[in-house]
Amino acid sequence: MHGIQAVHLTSVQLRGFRSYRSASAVFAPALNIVSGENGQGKTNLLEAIRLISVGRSFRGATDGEMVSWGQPSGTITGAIDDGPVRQIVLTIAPGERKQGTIDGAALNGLAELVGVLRTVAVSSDEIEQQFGSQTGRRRMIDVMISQVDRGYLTELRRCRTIVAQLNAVYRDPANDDALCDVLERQLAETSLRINRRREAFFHDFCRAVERHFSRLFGTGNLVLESRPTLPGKGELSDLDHAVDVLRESRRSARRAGFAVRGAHRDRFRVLLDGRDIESHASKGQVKIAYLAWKLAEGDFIERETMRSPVWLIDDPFSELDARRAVALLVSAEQRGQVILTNARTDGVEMLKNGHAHHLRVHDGIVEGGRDV
Amino acid sequence: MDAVLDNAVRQFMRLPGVGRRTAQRYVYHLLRQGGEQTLALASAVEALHTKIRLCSVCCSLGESDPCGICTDSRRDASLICVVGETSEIPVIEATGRYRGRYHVLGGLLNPAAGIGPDKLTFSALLRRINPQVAEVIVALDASVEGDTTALYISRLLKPTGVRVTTLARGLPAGGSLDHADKVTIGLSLDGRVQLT
Repeated sequence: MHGIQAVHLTSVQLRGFRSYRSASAVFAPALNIVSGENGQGKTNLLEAIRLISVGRSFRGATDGEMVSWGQPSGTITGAIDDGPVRQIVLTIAPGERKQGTIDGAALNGLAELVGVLRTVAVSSDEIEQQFGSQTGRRRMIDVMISQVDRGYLTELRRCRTIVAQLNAVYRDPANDDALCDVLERQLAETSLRINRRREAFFHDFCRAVERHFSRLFGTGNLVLESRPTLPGKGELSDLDHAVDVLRESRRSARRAGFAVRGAHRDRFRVLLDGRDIESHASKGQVKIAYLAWKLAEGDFIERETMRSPVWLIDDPFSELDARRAVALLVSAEQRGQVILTNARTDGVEMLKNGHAHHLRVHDGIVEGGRDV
Repeated sequence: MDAVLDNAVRQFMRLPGVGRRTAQRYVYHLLRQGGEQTLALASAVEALHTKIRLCSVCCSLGESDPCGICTDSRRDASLICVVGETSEIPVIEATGRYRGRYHVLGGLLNPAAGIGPDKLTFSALLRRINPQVAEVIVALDASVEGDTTALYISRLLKPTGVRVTTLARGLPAGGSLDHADKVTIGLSLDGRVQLT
């Protein structure tokens, strides 16, 4: 896209993070290949970068799992060239809130972190844990929009708090209906605001996913479909109707012990030739659909921010056939910085379309800096 | 650590935001001070318990019941400003723009933390509404808990017909439109005021 500013991660330092007691890596602005045997810490490096980007692990790991064994805490420091150089420091410790700084100023909540380093993460863990379910895809969409719109993230957090309050009310029969009325109205309001943003995002995103899928796969008709649990398209005039629907579902919510409708329960289906990919597509088709989604994610971040995301691609040659893996990498490389892990060398041989910055991970140490 | 020291450290650790290390610093600081200062602190803490009481009208904490504000005939009895805690009264008073009375809820609704309507002073507020009261101003935090509590009050007082208002939200004084987020600008538009 014309006029897109290239943003890249220049370096990262890790202390007490997973297999890294103390390590640092310097990255080139374009293609970076992190190689090494299995179990040496390649994916851990990508996980750390994604963590300072969106505040959570793409493997769904807890902070306790990410801190090195025997260490009280772990720290990730990243330097980002976004015109001016920016620095993010994030410290994690088991059972404690994440703490950090941006350009030396203390974070006032993790939300401030999101959107400084925008990334697209491509990993088989995400296919299994997120992309494979309708609720997982909602979480992926939420992270994606949050990276370009902090107001959306604020609204999601507000929704989460209201849902926690409402669930407590539903579970306690002593709480009166007046409190349910108040909280259901708040949930309807925040859900409509979230839905309005999702609607604005979804139309262009769907078309991009469909376009990338037909380019990668050749045949088949892939369609994304949103299934909100409250009526309306996010207009204020929909509020009373949404409140009524929540009130009507109160009995089942009390029985279930949680709010069964709202933006936190909305689902996103992926249909291949009219059938749900969760139950009807092959593993290969799911992977291609996932790749198409990721390429559309890159499009979305570029269009919304006029900046390129950093692509974090975990071992594509073990998960995808070579032709599609290369198609993904070439597409990503044309757009901006790529940090790619790779256990095999044959895939890298296929990428002789320019210089790559080569890093090698061995036993928690990052070596490298040579061009191949 | 000796039992006396350990007990003192534990007592300080019960204060919000005070961990073991800070508690130990406080304890050793007091030991370095003369006994007179430590006893003055102890006496002040004891007086909090023996001399401070709940105002039976507005539910604020003070030395007298009813409190000074509730008995001050110069205050406008037609206005009641509802706050979460007594500590918020001086914040409103410092503006110099409010001459009505107060009502202290004793917290905000937070069902997830076990704070339901029965834990706050809603029934005392309802009892205060009489034909003399023209307006109830809800001055609570701009948080989910604050909003829930404000909406609950609005619903509770609706049958009385009293006017219920809440503090305006929007751009901070001296704030730039360029740097405000969409939610704040939206609230500013909702709460816009007429200039002419």
